Amino acid sequence: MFPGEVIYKASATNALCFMTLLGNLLVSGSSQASPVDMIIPGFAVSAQYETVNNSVAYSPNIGDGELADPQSRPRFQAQGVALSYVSDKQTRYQLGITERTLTSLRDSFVIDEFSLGVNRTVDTRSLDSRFSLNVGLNARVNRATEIYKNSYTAIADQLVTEVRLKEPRDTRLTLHADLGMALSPHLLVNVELSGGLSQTRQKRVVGVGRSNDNCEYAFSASGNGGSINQLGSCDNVLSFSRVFPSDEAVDEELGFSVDNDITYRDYFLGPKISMLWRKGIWTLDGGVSLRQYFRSKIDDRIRDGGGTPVTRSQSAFAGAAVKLLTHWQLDARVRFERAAFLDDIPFLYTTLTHERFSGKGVFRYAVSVTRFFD
Amino acid sequence: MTYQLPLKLTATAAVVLSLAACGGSSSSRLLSAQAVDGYIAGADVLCDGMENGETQAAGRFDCPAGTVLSSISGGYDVGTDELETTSDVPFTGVLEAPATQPFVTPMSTISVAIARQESADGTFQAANYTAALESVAATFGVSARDLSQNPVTNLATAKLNAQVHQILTAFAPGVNDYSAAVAAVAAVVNTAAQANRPLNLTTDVGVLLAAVNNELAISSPSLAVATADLDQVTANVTSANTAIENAASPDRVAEESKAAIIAQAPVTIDRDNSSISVFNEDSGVVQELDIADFENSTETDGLYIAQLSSGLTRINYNSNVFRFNQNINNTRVTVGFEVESVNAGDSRSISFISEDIVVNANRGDSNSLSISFSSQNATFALVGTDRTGTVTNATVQTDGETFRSDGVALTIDLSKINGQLANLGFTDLLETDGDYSVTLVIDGLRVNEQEGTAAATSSEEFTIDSGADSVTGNGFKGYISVRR
Repeated sequence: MFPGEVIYKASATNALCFMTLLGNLLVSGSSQASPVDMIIPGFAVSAQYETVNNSVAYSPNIGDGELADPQSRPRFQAQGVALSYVSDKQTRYQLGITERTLTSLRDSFVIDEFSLGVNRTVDTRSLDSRFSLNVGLNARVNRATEIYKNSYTAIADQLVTEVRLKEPRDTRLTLHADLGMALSPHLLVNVELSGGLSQTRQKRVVGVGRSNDNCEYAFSASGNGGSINQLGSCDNVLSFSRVFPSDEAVDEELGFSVDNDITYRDYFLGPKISMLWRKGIWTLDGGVSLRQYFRSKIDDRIRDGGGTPVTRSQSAFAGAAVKLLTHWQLDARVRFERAAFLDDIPFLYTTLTHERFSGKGVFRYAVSVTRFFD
Repeated sequence: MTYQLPLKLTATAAVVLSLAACGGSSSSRLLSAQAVDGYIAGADVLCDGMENGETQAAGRFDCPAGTVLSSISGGYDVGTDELETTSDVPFTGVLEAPATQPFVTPMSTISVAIARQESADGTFQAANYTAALESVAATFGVSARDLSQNPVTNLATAKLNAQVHQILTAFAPGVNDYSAAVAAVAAVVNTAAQANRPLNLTTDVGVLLAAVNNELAISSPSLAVATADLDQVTANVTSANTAIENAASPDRVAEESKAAIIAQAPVTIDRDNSSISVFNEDSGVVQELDIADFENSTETDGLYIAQLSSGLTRINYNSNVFRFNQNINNTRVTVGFEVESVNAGDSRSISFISEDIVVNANRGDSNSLSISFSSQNATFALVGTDRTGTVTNATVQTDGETFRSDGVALTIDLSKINGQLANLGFTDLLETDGDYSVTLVIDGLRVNEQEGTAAATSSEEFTIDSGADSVTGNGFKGYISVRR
């Protein structure tokens, strides 16, 4: 959770006119947001820590077949900082960096996110002082050295037992508009509509598969082709390798292709409805959001393979914030997501890895602290 | 110290190593070498048994400091041209020299073998080499110093090396037989040396060959020549060594030696008395061709002379393609076979190479040819490329049937190869129409070819390159059109 989504007073004279600026800077789009009761022009710096409700007995390989002593670790953790700047009470610029860590039984992977956004308050006082309107544009980039998945995936008469995405990247652009309406001096309802697009890519995909005759193969593929190599000997075949000159050849032989099954562009659109109550130094908020994804090619491929694509995500969230002293604010938030992490990290969604994130709800907990500078 | 080499090497069947950067003030401390038959280029280099690349132009190669024994195997006798890297005369031998010696020659190889025989455990001991070299030198009437000199500057040494190479190749049809022949010759020379009995490589050929044959009958019976054939072998070697003896210059020594090596190859491709058959066994289609028609790459109406109306499944090289001039007993060779589309934009090809092939044949009996995998654990490397350019490499344990020889023909069974590829998820690369080159290569045997009454000439060489594996040798390259 970060003060990426900022709710603040639009003006001193319209004290109950809350506006929601969807900064989406640190934890991003549909994830955690904290109400910030600040509209003071100047800088704000936030730091956040986030975790989830389940953990894993992390015990990585330490070489020579040895495993480290198990350590209980959350399956997901994130920490980051954000810098925001309000120039003229109507425009907010935000910059953030977040480091996320996904941990499984044997592996732990770090995903870095860089975000940039601008949010603008549209002056609606002449129409109705109870309403506020904000629009914003955010850009986020995720990158990682490697993502590893070791659960089995059946594909093209073979069983893929390991998949590694090497140097995955994604870029997401989000445009949003939200309309706030003050129901009372302390209560605000906010309706937001956001949409945008994502583009994923990676340097290559490597992994291990097992054929019907129980032979094991290592594979590697990029958008320009790929290769497989037999691991050990199999029957009378002592060694075996195949080099594919194109992504089409990879698709034909291995049953998946980088361009169709790993890399994709999606479009998304969805509403979010939230309510916010604030009094004195306290602010409470909660709401639900829905996001519909449009990814025709990769989702068709997942369906063709007998899988169920993740075409929409739902989440519910609640949070509380308290002002401390003059320039500090503490936030605590909880969020339940149906499609765990896919809203935040698009490159996790591939034909080979989608089921890991399909319909597996997760509770995410976050705390953050913000310091405002006049 | 650095040993300067002359611009032209003149000895035949000699390997010359120079310690260009070995010891002294050299910083690299590499053992630099030159292999010569004249020069031997493209030979495998072993430094104390460890592979260390190939000989380059002028036969140059390096071994790391500390190497005790260097050896080279195979390659090409490129004559005395210091820039040439290939020729039509394969060098089918293995030569050795102690790392402390600047030059390796067949004579040094014999000396190494004697030193090995003088060792209690049969291994090479450098300390025994000098005495062995002196014994060899004394037996052949030269000084050990001369024998250690650069043979290309010493006509007498050039002749000795060329002549002893003729004797060795008379018993060693393939490169893998050479060391056994060396051991036998070394034993005979050592015996003569211990008896202070000189040997003349021109006038004593009969005695020498008989003694070597007796040694081989015990140590390597498969290389021993039948008594009935020994006179012919003696006559051949005597003729060659006499010509070498009469050569007036090291260049002439090299030429005479090469001519003899070609003329006395153990296998001759008989271009007058041969035929090749291409099959599609599924449809019963077969076409029998003269070798010239099979090799004809001229298309008429878009078709080669060799044509099939269904896919190519088998090729028979009839036994009378080969003529055997000496017995070949369990000689290990490398065989490569390739079918490759010649059409532009069609990347299809299949090739396989096996180093685990043994050849047996009796002198004068073409139908005695037996070519087979050396054991049930023998392997061959398969490479296939399909239309999309997808390349498959596999090493497969033999099914024992991909090669067949039944006394009538040497058969390459493509259906077996395609079966192997099908097991690997590869469709039949040749099931559709196309024009193909078909190449068979055998490496490790000296082969010449003869047409009519003309003198035998060196046989054309072909290379099959399948990525990690490559084989260059003698054989056939034909063309076939498949139209369904």
